[in-house]
Amino acid sequence: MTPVDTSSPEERDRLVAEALADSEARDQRYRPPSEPPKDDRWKGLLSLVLFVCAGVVGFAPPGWLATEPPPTVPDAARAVGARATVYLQAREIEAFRHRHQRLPDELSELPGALPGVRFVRSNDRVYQLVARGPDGRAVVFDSTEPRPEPSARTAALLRAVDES
Amino acid sequence: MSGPGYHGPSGGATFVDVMLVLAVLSVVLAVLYPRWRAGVLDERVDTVVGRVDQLVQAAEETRSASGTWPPTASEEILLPSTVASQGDDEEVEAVIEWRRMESVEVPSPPSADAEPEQETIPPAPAFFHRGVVSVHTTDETLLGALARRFAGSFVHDTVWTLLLPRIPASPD
Repeated sequence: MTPVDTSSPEERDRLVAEALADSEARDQRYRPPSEPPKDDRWKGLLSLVLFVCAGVVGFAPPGWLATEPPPTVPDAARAVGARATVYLQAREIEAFRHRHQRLPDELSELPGALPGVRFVRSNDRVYQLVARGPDGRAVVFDSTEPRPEPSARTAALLRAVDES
Repeated sequence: MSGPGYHGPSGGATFVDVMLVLAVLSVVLAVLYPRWRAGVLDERVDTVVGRVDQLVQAAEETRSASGTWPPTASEEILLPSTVASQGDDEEVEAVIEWRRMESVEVPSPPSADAEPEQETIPPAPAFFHRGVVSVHTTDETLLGALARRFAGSFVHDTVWTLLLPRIPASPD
């Protein structure tokens, strides 16, 4: 290694200046650009727009893009179903009574017992059927009524089936 | 490795590139996911509808041959699960049941205008059988789809029920 002459102040100043210049050159070589490249700016904007579009399509899709919502059963239809279930079960209990001259001890005695109906037997001749409606309220049939009568919509349903 | 434009090693994706890819994927997912779910739901509905149609057809054949609906029977159906909350390997079960429900029609008693000397034999009650198909499932969308697909059906609790016409019961 060549010895460095540092005897004179001028020589020392020259060495310091060279060291600073070399350091500056190295910094400029690895310094990140002061402004982001123009490519990144439009990519960032496009990403933002696409995210917004994804959100709109996901939560509020336009008509031409929306799919049919999954089918559900409205509460009114469920209420008709509860009344129809109770009515059909009452008719079957009456048929059992006519055949066997007694009430069934449990609904399981009936060949066509429907689920979701509770059978409450008061005595040998009186019973109630209880089903839960869509709003949690009970749909009740009491056998003390002279004949189980369907609701208007249940009657229309049965009529449509029997006439088909 | 020098030059006025050089500012470090190049290559690889930047953060913005990754965000752009994610944004494109999210748009594609938002468009395709609802369609995929609808398609899978249709597949599950078609499975159950197919079994119901087979059951009704078999019952109709029995009725044509014997004059009465067949007796009560049940069968379990395993359906592919597509709901995100359930694992991909878990199957949703639906139970399909056939019932023969009975009803009775009691003719009205003779009117009071009838002559008291005449001995009137009370008319015999008439029994009827009705075929009933039920599908038990906790899947609300399946229940709704079945109710929409079949006229003459209703839903109560977790059971969809299809009514078939009633016929006079054959004498035992």
